[in-house]
Amino acid sequence: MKRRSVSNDPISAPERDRGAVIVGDNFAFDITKATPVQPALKGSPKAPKAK
Amino acid sequence: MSQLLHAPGFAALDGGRAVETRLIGGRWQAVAWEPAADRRRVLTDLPHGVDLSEIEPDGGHVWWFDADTGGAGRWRRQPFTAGPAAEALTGLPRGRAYGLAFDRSGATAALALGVGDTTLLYAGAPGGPARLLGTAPGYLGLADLSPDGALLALAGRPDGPDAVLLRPADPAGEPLTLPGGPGLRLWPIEFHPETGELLLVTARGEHYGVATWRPGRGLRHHPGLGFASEITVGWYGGGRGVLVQHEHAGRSRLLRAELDGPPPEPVPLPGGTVHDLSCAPDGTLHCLWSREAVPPRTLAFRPGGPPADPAPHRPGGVRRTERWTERPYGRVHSFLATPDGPGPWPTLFLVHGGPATHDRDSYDPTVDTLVRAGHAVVRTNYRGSTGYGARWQHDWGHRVGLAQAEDLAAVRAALVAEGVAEAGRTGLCGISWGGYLTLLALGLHPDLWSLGMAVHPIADYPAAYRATTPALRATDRQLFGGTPEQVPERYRRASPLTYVERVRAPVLLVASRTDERCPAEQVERYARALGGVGAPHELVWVDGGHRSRRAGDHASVLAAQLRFARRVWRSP
Repeated sequence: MKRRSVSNDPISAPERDRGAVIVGDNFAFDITKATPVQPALKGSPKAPKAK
Repeated sequence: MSQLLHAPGFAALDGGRAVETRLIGGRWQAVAWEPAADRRRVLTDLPHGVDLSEIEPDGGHVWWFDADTGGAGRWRRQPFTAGPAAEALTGLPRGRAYGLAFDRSGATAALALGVGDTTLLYAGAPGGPARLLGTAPGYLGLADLSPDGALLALAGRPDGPDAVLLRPADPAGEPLTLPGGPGLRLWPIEFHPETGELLLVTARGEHYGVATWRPGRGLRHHPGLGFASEITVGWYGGGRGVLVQHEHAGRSRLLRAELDGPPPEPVPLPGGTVHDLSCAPDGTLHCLWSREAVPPRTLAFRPGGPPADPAPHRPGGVRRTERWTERPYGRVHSFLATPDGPGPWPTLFLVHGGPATHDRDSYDPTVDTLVRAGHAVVRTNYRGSTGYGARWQHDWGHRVGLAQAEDLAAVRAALVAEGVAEAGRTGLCGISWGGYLTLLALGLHPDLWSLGMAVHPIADYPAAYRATTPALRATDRQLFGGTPEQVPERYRRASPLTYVERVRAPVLLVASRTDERCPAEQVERYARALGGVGAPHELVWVDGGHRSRRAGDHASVLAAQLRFARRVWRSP
């Protein structure tokens, strides 16, 4: 049984899949320090400006 | 040591040497491993990481694929012990890696490269000049090279006329094809290391099985090995012994058998999923394994020896159950994870990609992160998923996306009725083909879903078809029963862009400029169309292509999703 870096069988054919399966342990990150997502929601009601 | 991406690859003639792909400093890299001393040397330090590596049979050199974030690159060859990398075969063009194999001694390497819409086949002595053996249109994967180096086994479309192509390395030799067709699918797997007999997986009607092929004898099926859902197989244990990995209903099992011998014997496993599997020359199996509550780890064991070590569960906070939703055409299987306590909860469907894969009893850090943020998380194996047999995977009448959206809606309705899902806060979240289903369902069923997050999705199916890779174009032709020109109405009905004016839920889109599978242009155009109809949305750009080899890219996408869900749903 050889290991395949590029497999092609009924349970694994990555070149034929839009699968994006990631085998991960954890993505240890601090949610409070993650980069803010920009831009803000388009088409959503705008928050009132602070006076 | 840090986590593995694949099972280790062992040098066939030297069990003391192996290659691994490990997460080093947040990026996948190639690592030389000496198992006896448990000593490792990190070979690569590429900014975008490495996720394909091999080792020559004598263990003297490691090969790794130096790819850009779009997946194109070159094979490099590096001494196992010390020294710089060089071209693995000289004179090769840049291309996509469609397979690499060595003969038994390692004197010859063969590889397939995808360049544009063509597959190029090469052979040569490692480190020496590449010899072009031939070309073929579209995608052909290299499964193996025979032990004497004389024959290449190539994989085309499993149900196509070129399902298996056996091509002599000698240009004067005559190629031979083993055709698939309606009711027969074929996958070439590997040559026997001594006899050269080719091992194949077959699907005949609804049953998966094992076959062998030898010159002059042709294809022979082995009826003692029949399975109701997907398998793979490898030669194992000498003689005509094989090891079968069987995937059923989101769990893996391993079976050891002799071709034409007594019934196969299960190899004990502690449940869960085998993500990848390899075999050391002494017969020790190395399984990259996990289950829902246990992160991936390597189980190293020999069949017949002590059972694989059942790992402890990670402590609580996440309640894990399963659901089977009755439908006229069968039962839809889902994995459900919820916070402790009574529902209902804001509920996110994590929609898997592929579609030829499935959600399973395996660890997913995204599930735990979302549940700890107060959501119920549902992973549904809609029609088209693997692990439930050939009918479930293929028999839904080319209603691409529509059948799957119906399955997701049915599971949602059952969970709302059960009091698990909060009716006003159910959403969809998916990557790649899962992102595609997310966008499609938002437009098809705008009253059901109040949130959508699509990462690297198909948003305009005909445009994505034209711009994607040859292998995926072939997959799409199989799904739809033709090209966008041949069956335009099927593509139009399956395309999220067709329904963009009906989208009401806020949408998070994540795209990468170097995504070769679900190109960014069509995502960007979908975002503009959402803006045109006043649908709330965000478009987030990330680096790393379709499948980044850097953990930080995945973490930043998950962070964006969490923040978006919190903002839209005002969830905890």
